[in-house]
Amino acid sequence: MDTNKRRQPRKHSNKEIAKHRADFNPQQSKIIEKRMRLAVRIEEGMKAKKWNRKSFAVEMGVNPSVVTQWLSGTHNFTSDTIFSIEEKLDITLMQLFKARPETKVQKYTIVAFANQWVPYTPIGRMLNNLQFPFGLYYSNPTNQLLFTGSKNSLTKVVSSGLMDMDTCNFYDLKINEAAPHAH
Amino acid sequence: VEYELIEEEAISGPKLKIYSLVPLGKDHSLYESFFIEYIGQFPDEIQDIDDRLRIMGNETGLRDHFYTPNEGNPGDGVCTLFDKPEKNLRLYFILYGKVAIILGGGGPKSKTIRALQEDPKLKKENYLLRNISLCIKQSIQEKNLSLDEDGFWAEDDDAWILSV
Repeated sequence: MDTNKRRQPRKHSNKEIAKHRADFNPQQSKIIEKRMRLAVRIEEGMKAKKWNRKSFAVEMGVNPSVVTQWLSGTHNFTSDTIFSIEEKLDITLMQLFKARPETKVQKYTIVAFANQWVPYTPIGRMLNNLQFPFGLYYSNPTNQLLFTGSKNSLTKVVSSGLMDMDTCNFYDLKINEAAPHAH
Repeated sequence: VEYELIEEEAISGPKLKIYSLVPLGKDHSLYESFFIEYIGQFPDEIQDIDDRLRIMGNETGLRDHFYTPNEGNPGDGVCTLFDKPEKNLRLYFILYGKVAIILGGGGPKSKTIRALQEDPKLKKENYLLRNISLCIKQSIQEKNLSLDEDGFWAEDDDAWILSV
């Protein structure tokens, strides 16, 4: 089949179901998620040790059906069981229950100058093609081009050759603080 | 009966594409009908099933230990979600590798029966998915439907309509 013509099934949702979902117990949802992540972590630990359910059961001194239950993502573990599994698999499980730290991305800005309206500049055309996934840009009345993003993503723009490094300055912004021109 | 293959927007995700089927002329997919039928009687289990599907869709993907395989004919991919002794509800689906599942319906499985064929409701839901699986297999063989790492796709929207 021609992959250029590919269509995907319609995305379907229903208001009645959405109302029921809004009534779900959020605490229960968190417990379900933690149990599933725990099961996945144990499975990965077993794979790292090259143990199947049976050999892991032997190591743990339990019936293989107990391991099956642990891996189902529905099991309510005691702390003693978690400690034993951690020791056998050389993994940490308790850290799964801590809130995930927010990822902090150091943002930078590039300032460059253009002598035309942005979409007609080489960089503008490239950004249109790429749909510029890594930040915001605009041209102010002085034809100053301003880009924000991680240093990596901005370096990609610069290294594309469409923007001369000499005309670009990296300005270090404060962590997680949007550039003033990005609004 | 004709069905439209749809993607369940609220639970499908990048880790697992989750589809179901809407009978033509109806508002609810097979999965939504199952949801609505049992939310009153088994609210905690319905939340459990729906949350697990959403987490599989968006976070963990489908893992072998999250479901019971071989609930249909050999090779048709019909499986059961959450076939646990302490749970009442069983939900049938068709498995397509680690990429996609198609949800059907299901129902409560009595503790007094072993085989699904002993329960008319479970038998009906399970056999419907067996037939849908055949129909999709045929569509793939005839190149009306395709499946890759991004899920099902086709060149023509007519391909989503399946006559079962």
